[in-house]
Amino acid sequence: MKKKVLTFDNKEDFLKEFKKIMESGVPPQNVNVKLPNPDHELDHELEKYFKPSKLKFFTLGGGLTGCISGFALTIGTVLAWPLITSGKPLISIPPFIVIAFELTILFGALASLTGFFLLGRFPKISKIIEPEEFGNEFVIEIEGEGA
Amino acid sequence: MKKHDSATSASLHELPPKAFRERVEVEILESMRKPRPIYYIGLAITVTMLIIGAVAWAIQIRRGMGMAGINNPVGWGAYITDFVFWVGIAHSGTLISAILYLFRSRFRSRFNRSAEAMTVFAVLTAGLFPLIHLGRVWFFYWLFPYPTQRYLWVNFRSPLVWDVFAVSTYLTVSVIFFYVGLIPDLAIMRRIKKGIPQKLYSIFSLGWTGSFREWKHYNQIYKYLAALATPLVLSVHSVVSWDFAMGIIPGWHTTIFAPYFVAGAIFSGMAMVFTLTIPMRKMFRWENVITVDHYEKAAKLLLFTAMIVTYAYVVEFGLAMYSHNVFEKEQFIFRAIGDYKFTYWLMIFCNAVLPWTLFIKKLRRNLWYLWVLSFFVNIGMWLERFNIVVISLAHDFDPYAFGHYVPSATEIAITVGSFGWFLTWFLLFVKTLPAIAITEVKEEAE
Amino acid sequence: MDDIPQYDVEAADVLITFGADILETFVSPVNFIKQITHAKEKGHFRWYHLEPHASLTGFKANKRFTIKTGSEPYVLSFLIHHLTANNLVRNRLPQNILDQIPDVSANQAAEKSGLSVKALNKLATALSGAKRPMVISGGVSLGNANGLLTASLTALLQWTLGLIGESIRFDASEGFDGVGSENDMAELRNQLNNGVVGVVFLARTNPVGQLTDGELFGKALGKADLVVAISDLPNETTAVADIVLPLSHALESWGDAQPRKNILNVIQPTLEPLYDTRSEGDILLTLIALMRGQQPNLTYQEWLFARWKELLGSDAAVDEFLKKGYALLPAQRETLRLNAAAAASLLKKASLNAPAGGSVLFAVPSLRMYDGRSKQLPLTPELPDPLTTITYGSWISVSDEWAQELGVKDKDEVSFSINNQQFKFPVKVQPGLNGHVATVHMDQIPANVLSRDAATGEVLAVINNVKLEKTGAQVKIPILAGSMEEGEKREIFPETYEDLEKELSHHNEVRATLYPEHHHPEYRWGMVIDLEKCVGCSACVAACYIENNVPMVGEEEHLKGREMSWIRIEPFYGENPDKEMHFTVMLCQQCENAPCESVCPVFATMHNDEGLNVMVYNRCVGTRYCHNNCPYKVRRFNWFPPQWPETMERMLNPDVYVRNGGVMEKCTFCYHRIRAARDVAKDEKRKIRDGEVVPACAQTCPAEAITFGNLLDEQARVTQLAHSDRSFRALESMGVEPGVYYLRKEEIKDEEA
Repeated sequence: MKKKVLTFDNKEDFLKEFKKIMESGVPPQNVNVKLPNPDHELDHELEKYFKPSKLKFFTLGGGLTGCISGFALTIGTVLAWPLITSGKPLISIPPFIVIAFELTILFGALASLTGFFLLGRFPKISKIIEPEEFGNEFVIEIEGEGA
Repeated sequence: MKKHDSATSASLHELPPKAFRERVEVEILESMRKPRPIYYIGLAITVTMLIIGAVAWAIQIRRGMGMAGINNPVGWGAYITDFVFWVGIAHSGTLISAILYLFRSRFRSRFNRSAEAMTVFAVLTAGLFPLIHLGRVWFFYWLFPYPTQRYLWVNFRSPLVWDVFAVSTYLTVSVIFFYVGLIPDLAIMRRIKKGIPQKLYSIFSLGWTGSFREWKHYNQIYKYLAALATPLVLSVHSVVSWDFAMGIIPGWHTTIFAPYFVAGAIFSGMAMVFTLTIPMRKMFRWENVITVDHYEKAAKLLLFTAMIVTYAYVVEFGLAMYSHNVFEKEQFIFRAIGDYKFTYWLMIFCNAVLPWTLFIKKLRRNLWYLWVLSFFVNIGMWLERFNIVVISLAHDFDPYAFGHYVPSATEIAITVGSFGWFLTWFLLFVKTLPAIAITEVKEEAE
Repeated sequence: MDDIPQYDVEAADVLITFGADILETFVSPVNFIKQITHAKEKGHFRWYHLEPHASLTGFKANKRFTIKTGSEPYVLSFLIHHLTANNLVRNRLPQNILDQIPDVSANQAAEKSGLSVKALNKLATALSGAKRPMVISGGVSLGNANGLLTASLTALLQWTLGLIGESIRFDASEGFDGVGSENDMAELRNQLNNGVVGVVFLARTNPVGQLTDGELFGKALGKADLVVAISDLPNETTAVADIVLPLSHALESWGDAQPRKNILNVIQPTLEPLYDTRSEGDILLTLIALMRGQQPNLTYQEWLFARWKELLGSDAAVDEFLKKGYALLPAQRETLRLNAAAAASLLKKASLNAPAGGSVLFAVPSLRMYDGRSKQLPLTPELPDPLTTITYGSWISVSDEWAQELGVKDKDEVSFSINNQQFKFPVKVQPGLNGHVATVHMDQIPANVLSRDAATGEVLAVINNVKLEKTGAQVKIPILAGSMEEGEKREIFPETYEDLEKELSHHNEVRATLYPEHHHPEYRWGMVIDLEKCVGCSACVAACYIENNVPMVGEEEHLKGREMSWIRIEPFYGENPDKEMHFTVMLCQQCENAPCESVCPVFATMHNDEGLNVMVYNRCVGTRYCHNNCPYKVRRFNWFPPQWPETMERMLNPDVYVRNGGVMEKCTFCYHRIRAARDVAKDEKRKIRDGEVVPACAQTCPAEAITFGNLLDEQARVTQLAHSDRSFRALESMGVEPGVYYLRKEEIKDEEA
């Protein structure tokens, strides 16, 4: 497969060239862009061409699951074995909120990590065995059509 | 290794982007060179401290909780103080990583890796203490929510169970946050190192290629983890502070604890960042990478939290007097003039007097002053938790039950051991992982 | 009649005691405590106590007067003459006696004793106005140089008030006619020294350790042919005996006892002797048989049964005796006459020594260990002395004045000497002691340091002109109370009427609450403790230890502040200790909204539907949050696994769990007894009746101060007391709704007393 690799030392050059390539009609799935570090401005620009990440839905799903299971766990167990402590109401919402809150965050974070692995296709076993260089240049790789 | 001159950060920024990025790697990875003897001496000291603590704990498990100095009425002492202290230290890591990230602060990038590492290790240390202070530590797993053989779960109304959830969540999220942030740096290490270490870095970097398809997920997870971690850090120390605020004794039962403790945690955590990074900067010759400006900004944050803590002291005392509650008044007067007046006034000096000197710009920019000040702040913050835990218990409602507590040799050994544990982890971290987030500093190239 | 009479204090309406520590060690304190309780219940009971030092008895009396030691005869003389002169007596004393009693005026008596004239007149008025007065002398008032005179004058006062034969009788006397005095023992010592004595049996007695000339006695014993000691514990006497025969424990033997002349008690064994021991009866019967050349075939048990049948009349009576545990023997009511001539000549011969000025040290028998004879029991030093809350160790109680002069405070060491023997004790400032007065407990000094009155054999407890010198050292003694000052307006226990009024105004209000109502289907267990009746004797504390297998932790742990008592007596002294001293009995309040319950992470403590805060030992992981959250600090943690030495584990109550190290414990209202009663009631298909469940503390309290029962039962005694106008709860303002009610101490205004 024909492959074109362009490297740039700085952000502006890279961005100019990238826009040129994308506007020339190369399909985004043939283009791979490599960055030496994350950058907010670049994110913004690049996301116009590459679909934005869906990871946030994992976070949302995890968070909601956490919240619901937090209340389910606390209320369920206290109803299964109703033990009175300090005369407080059996279904004491304030402490249960604390538990639900912590579980929201916990499940949100775990779900995000799961999403990160799934969406980013980690771990990449072939790349572990034979790593691809992650250097200090901006790289555009075009494969197939448009090379 | 060519020696570089004492150029300021400005000169680093004068470099063109690629050269800047390469230079940044070189400078930061100075810390990952083969260790000099002083490193091994330091490691030997911390491991010795750790062993002392471990042996003391083993003896305590064998003989009984009575090896500690706690008694009636002071049922909690050095261990709980240590627990809150270490959780507090952990907080500034998340503050720097998560909260400052959301505020897009620039000086954050120099500290966030060490701070995150500090968070993880501090939470590991803090997590030991709920075990250490248990009377029957071999049943520690009863604290976790699972149905026992009789279908009994845990008491979710108890602040200690909230602690279990909060600290476990905090540990998990901190580790995830730390690890995710490390992935690009691990890829860099994979490029530079050889042999077995290279294979390990390669495995843990998960095959990272730096492609935007990976970066977009990375950015999002980082953003959302920061967004999750922010309320988490506020909640975790609030939950820890509610260990006391849910108690009814005077000095504990007050609503100010959540914000007071969180501010105090950030305060002590920042101080610990100073304690650790100022010598690191000197040893690894990072004068270009972390500048005095960075420290000055961090010092302003320290001053801000010191002001909140001072305010909290004034409010606590003032409200106690204003309340005309016999017990509350007496507790606070006892703090100032009673058996523990030494620890009380030392705490006031370290936390509410000394840090105010940071209003003076010259002192803010003097790194040695900041380093010494950070020790005082850490001592002061340890004493603050000690005062809250011990003095309130020693002097509560029934005068017959007033008591006194002095930490025993076992407790001192285990406290020393906890520092040994923390510092050992930290020293190992410094030589195996880049202690400054290389990838984030590279962002400043243009 | 050479005995101690029974004093009918119960029926009295005015009681005046001179030094007699009737609540502590005088004759039979349990009996006196009970009588005082019953006297108080009748109402209109006033008790005036005169003493030169500060004692538990003095603090519990309605009014306590401090007199100079040795001045009792002046006060008594004044009273006798004043009442006689005003014709306020029932029996006028014969003139020859009256002539021998110095005619002491009020002013003279006041000067000599240190009382005010007003106080003396008050005493006289009280006695004369009383329908049934009572006067008792004892303790340190008799243990001084004027002791015999004080005792004689007291007896004459009693006679003139018409008490002798009426409320002071000998038909149920104490049975001391068989007990020898120190003078009798000195006589025995002379006989031993003269070589007259062959074999000496010393059973259950320790003269070498407990006589004031015990050392000399021990040497004299060496002159006997054979000294046999029969004892269950080693002591100074067994150390010098030629043969020691180990004695079976009371729980292993048959026997009987006569606490009073007209009462016979049975001692029954609960187990076969664990070791090779015998009872005294068996030893003596065996020896008698051997001496006669016969085979020993009569056991003590058989001998006793035969003797009882004789005494009580029939086998049926013996059965009844064994079941009940006691039998009443026919009492002989004797008519007592005053031997005027003997009395007059006694008074003539007696010399009235001037009351000593200067500094005085009193050696008083202690409530816990008497003169030291029960020191060997592990429990006695574990319990705190009620006035000072000191457990292990020795101390000297010093007045505040004197301590300030010396520049010492609690735990500072001072040195002093008694009869040329030097002691170094730490100081404990005792509120209520006035002037240069100090007290030391007899169990802390060896008996041979004291001297005795040659005429009577009474141990002289008063040491004059004692000098205290600060040594500069500090001694670590466990003072369990953190503080014994209540401070002003401390809201734990309202002391004044005004405070209680404030308290009671909340009584009938239903406290506004966010919490749901508690549901008690059948029982709600509650307790009422009457702080007026409580005398601080700490019997409840001891009972709780034994009943609940509470570990005794020893001195080191006490120094760290880790005592294990589930119930405790808290002494509090106000600004004016004579008026403001009271004991609080603190135990788990079984709060409805117990702050300890919600903070336990593992549900090791929670509330059951009978109103009890239950402690689940096997679930406790030992976080100690519950202990921190208890406002009363009644929870106890097992810092180390408790040790029960060999055979002591047989003492453990099998109904109660034995806790291991790392586990929290506290008073459970003797839940095992509630369970047992519930089982019985269930079998009989009924509810538990009032009075069926009696916790160990309530069962033991001699003052009947603790009442326990079901608060849901309107008819129960506990409910009625809980709703009385004297009742309050501790720390009511916390809102924890305790299940323990206290009845306020009577407040007697000065004018009334």
